Amino acid sequence: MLPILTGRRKRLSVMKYRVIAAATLILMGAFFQSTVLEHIEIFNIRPNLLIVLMVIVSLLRSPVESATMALLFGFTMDVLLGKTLGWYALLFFLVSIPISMINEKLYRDKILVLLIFASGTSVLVEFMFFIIVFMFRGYQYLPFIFWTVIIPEAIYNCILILPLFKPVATVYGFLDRIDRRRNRLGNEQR
Amino acid sequence: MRRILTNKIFILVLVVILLLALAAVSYSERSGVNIIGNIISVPAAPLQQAFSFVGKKVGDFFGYFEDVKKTKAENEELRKRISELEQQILDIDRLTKENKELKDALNFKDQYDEFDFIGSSIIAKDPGNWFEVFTINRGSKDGILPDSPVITAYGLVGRVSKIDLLTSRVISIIDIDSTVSARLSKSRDLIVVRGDVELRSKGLCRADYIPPNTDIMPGDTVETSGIGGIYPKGIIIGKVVSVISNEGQYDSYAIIEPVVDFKRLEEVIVLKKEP
Repeated sequence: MLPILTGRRKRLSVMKYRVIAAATLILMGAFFQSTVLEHIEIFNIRPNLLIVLMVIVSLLRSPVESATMALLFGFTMDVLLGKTLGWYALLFFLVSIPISMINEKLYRDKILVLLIFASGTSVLVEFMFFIIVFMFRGYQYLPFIFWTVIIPEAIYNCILILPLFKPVATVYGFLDRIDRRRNRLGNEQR
Repeated sequence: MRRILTNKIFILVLVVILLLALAAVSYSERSGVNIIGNIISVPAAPLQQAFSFVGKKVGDFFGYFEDVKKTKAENEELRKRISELEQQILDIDRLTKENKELKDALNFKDQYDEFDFIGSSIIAKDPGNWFEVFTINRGSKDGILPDSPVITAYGLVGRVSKIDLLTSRVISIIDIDSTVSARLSKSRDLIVVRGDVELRSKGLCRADYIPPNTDIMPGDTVETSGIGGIYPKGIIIGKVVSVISNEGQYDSYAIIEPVVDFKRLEEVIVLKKEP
């Protein structure tokens, strides 16, 4: 039985669950990205779990929540890379907003939708990252990088999004149910 | 004012400007801003360490059965080698004594005397597909300093780039941000070894600025030159795999195979300068 809370305490309590869920998702993403995924590399390419999680959250949540989570996922990627902070955070942040703005018009759990967004976002983010970090230093291997790094990673991310979408959607669905239940009980009490 | 602050476009632009400012400020490896990386690295470190430990144990378990076969064959060979090595040990003992006497006579200071050796384990590798950076389980609390050289028993690994409380990031010599002043062991010619986007995935790096008349051939050993102030002199970097000659005066370059196998690297030594 959930305790009935009202006003500010209720908002804080629900927010607490959301913060814990978000922090867990980010830390697990960071942990898997820097350890486990190393063991499933194919041709020296590993998927980018943080891009995949960002796409899933953007497909499920409001623009404000998606942008906040994307910012944190991107920042986590920047920290793990140990180079300049902010580039992945900026790219994730900017890409998540348009996805989350149109997500209600999409059949989000259709495989084709997941594949299009996972591949499109991966190509866009990694291509922009390459332009920002490498091209300005005089590297001109764009076709090589595109076919040997960006495209394989995008394909890998497409595979990864399929088993991950449902569990993440279930967690968010569960949090929404807690929200609704608290709201209903709060209104009934008043 | 309040309406401006709640305006979504204003917030969007503000976040973008802040992120660009963060990127600009954190561009330098020694920037104080990098301390905020502790927010992620400190809670992630125990998880990474635990996974690294479990992964190693699982690998050891599966490797056990394969190892039994190999061990039998190796045992035979090792018996032969033992007798050879026993003779060599006697020679080495004699040479060590001679070496010490000569060093004392010349008042020669060993280049590694000024360093403390800090053993570390790699707990996480580069999370993306762009760089060759890894995380070790030693941080500022262990006295690790920026730009400390990182080696193994075989040769040069790289240098410490960023330091958090419990962990540090090491840039390997095959990373595109790495540049090492080097010397060809045979001819003593100076070259520059750096990471390359194309060669990185093969675990190789390249040597640039090769003067036209340099005596360089495949199989030559490359070592640190000691110039630049980061790496001490004489650490083995790798061997020349091929030399690509171009028409321009300094256009030739060589492909170097590092002595360290970065794919299987688990333990490293950080050289910390004694105060």
